[in-house]
Amino acid sequence: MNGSDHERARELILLRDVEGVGNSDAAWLECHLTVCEECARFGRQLEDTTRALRSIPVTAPISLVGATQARVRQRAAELRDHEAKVFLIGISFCLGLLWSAGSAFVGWKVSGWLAEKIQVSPWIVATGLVVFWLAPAIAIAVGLLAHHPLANHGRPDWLGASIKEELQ
Amino acid sequence: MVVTAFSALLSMETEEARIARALRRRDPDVLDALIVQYQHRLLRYLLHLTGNCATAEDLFQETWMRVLEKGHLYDGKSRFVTWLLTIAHNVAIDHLRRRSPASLDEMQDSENGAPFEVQDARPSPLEQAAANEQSARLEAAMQQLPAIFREVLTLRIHEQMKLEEIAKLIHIPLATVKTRLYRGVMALRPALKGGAE
Repeated sequence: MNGSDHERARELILLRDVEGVGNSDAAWLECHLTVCEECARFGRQLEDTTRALRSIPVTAPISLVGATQARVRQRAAELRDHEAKVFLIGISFCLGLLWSAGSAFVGWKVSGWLAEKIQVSPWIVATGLVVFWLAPAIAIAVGLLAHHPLANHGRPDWLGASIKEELQ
Repeated sequence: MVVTAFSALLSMETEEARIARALRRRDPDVLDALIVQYQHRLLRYLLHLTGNCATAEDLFQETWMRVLEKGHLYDGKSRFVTWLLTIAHNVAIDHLRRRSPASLDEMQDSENGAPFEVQDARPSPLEQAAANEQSARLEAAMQQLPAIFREVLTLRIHEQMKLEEIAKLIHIPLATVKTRLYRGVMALRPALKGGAE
C-alpha cells in the first residue's frame, strides 16, 4: 500500500455518493478500507458530515421572497421600457440613414444636371455639394471644440487651482 | 424502464429549455415562480458562502436582478440551478471586490476582524435551524471554516453537484475542488466527534 492507493481511495470515497463508482472500483475500495484505518475514517467522516449538514434546514423569509419578486418585476418593466426606446432609436437611425443616402444620390444627380444646364464644370458643383453636406457638421464640431475644457490653454478646467499653479 | 428514463430526460430538457425561453422574454411570472422554487437553496448557498445573514439576503436579491439582466445568456443546456449558483458566486465575488478584499480567501478577515460573525440582531435561518447540539456544534464549526471550504461543502453536500460542475462553477481546477472538499470535511471532524464517532 502506497500514497497513490490512499489518494485513489479518497477520490473514490468522494465520488461514490454523487458520481458513483464502478463495481471493480467499489470492490477495490472496500478491500482498501478494511486495511486502511485513515481512509476508512475519512469515509465515515464524510458520511457524518453529509448527514449532519443536511439535517440543518435553511428557510428563506417570506418577506425576502416577496421583496425580491417586487424588485425583479419593477426592474423587468424598466428594462422593457428601455428596450422599446432603444428599438425606436434604432428604427429612427436606420430611416435617417436611408433618407440621407437617398437624398445624397438625388442631390448628386440634380447637381450634375444643373452643371450641364448652366455649363459649369461638374467638379465645381460636386465640391459645392460636398461642402453643403459637410458644412453643418463642421460648424458643430468647431463650436464644440471652442467650448471644450481642453481649449483653455490646453489644460482641462476641472484641474484644481493648485495643480494649475504647479503646472505653470 | 429505458422509456421512463428517456421521458424523464426529455422532460428535464424541456423544463430547462422552457426556463431559458422565459428568461429571454423576461417573463415576470416565470421569474416569480423560479424565485419561490429556488429560494431556500440559493439562500443556503449564500449564507454558507458569506456567513452573514444580512449580506446573504442582499446578495439573494442582487442575484435575481442579475438573473433578470443576464437571463438571455442562459442556453438551457445545463441545469438551471448550476447556472443560478454561478451567478450567485459571481455576485458574491463582486460584492467582496467592492468591499476591498480581492478574493473569498480574504473574506474571513474582512468583517471587523471577527470571521463570519452574524451581525444581524435577529437569529439567522441557520441559527433557528440549529435545534440540537450537534447541529449547533456543526454550525459553529462551519462558521470557523474559510469561505472557500464552506462553498465547496455546500455545493457538494446540499446541491449534490458533480466535482466537475463545482470546478466549473467556481473557476478552479478539479484537483483543488477535491483538496478543499477533503480538508473541509476533515476540519469539521472535531464538531462531529461527540455525536458520530
